[in-house]
Amino acid sequence: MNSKNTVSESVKDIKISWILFKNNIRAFFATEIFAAASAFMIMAIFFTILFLLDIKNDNLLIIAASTVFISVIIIFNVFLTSQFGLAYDILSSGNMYAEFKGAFVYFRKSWWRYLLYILMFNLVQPSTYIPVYSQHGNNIDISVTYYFIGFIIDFLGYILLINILPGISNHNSLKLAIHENFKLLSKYPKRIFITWSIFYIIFEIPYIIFRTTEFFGNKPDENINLAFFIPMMLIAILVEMIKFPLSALISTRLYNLLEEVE
Amino acid sequence: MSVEEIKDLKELTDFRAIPLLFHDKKEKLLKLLIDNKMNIIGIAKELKMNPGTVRRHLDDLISMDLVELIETVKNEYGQKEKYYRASAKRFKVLIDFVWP
Repeated sequence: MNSKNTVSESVKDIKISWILFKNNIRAFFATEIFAAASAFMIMAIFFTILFLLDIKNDNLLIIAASTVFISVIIIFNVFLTSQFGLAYDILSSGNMYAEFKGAFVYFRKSWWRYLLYILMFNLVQPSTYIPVYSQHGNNIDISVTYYFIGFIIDFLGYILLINILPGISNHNSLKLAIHENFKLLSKYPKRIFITWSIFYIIFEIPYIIFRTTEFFGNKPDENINLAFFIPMMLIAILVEMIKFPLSALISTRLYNLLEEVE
Repeated sequence: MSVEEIKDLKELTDFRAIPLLFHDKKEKLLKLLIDNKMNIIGIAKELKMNPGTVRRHLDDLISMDLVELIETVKNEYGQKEKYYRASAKRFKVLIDFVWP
């Protein structure tokens, strides 16, 4: 397949995934809202208990709060990853639809595989540019080049591992899913690279520009403009809510290319 | 597959098929599948039902051999579509029932 065809196939990957996302938006949004609401409620209950107990020991308080916070974030992410199961239902099961309760089915079946995947993903894709941001705070001497390299590593890590998830839904085996991921990468490197590049351009670049502008342009002690900040936050949340299920549909569609190889 | 290709009459020996044939929604679904092969989304649109509900009704009908999966195809979106069809145009339930 020549480059022009690959680009048009990649554009088609995004367009079709968008149509399928819109057709099944309720199941995806319900999963995300449920995950966020549950995480929020657990945190709220926990901090209410801490407040009521009136613990004086600061160290104990920090350890307890960090443990609960990290655990909730991990469970939240593992549950969200079950959206790849919903994408499998839509594209590969033959049923052509997804239901909210399907997320629980995949979560129950594969939660520990999703957990291992998330750990592996964070090792390969350490979001290099985010630690740089937090370590240096408002230090504007930070290297743009370093930030850019971090972004590239982040992107390559993403395309290297994202297509493992549809394999987990298909086989209930992480080992087989990893094997199939690399088989897919070796057979369709151009298609995978271009599709995820377009995806990154749409969903990541605007965010990074915003963060970079905010970061490099921000002066210490400057008041935050809420009229700007709140709508931007709401847009960012909406983009995140669309981005994850869309990535699940795209990667499942790419994963299905393997059938054409076999 | 055309209507002519499915059996004219199928004899069933499992009495649990009877309530399915008298169930309002399942009866409508079965009648639809006697005339056409359809996928879940098509059935859901036609009967104005939720696809999940259609799936559950179909599972019940399949479990009693009233409906069968006849083919799986890929559509223009690259989605797999499962097509279902009634296993016959008419059904006869044979029960040899003695109680107690």
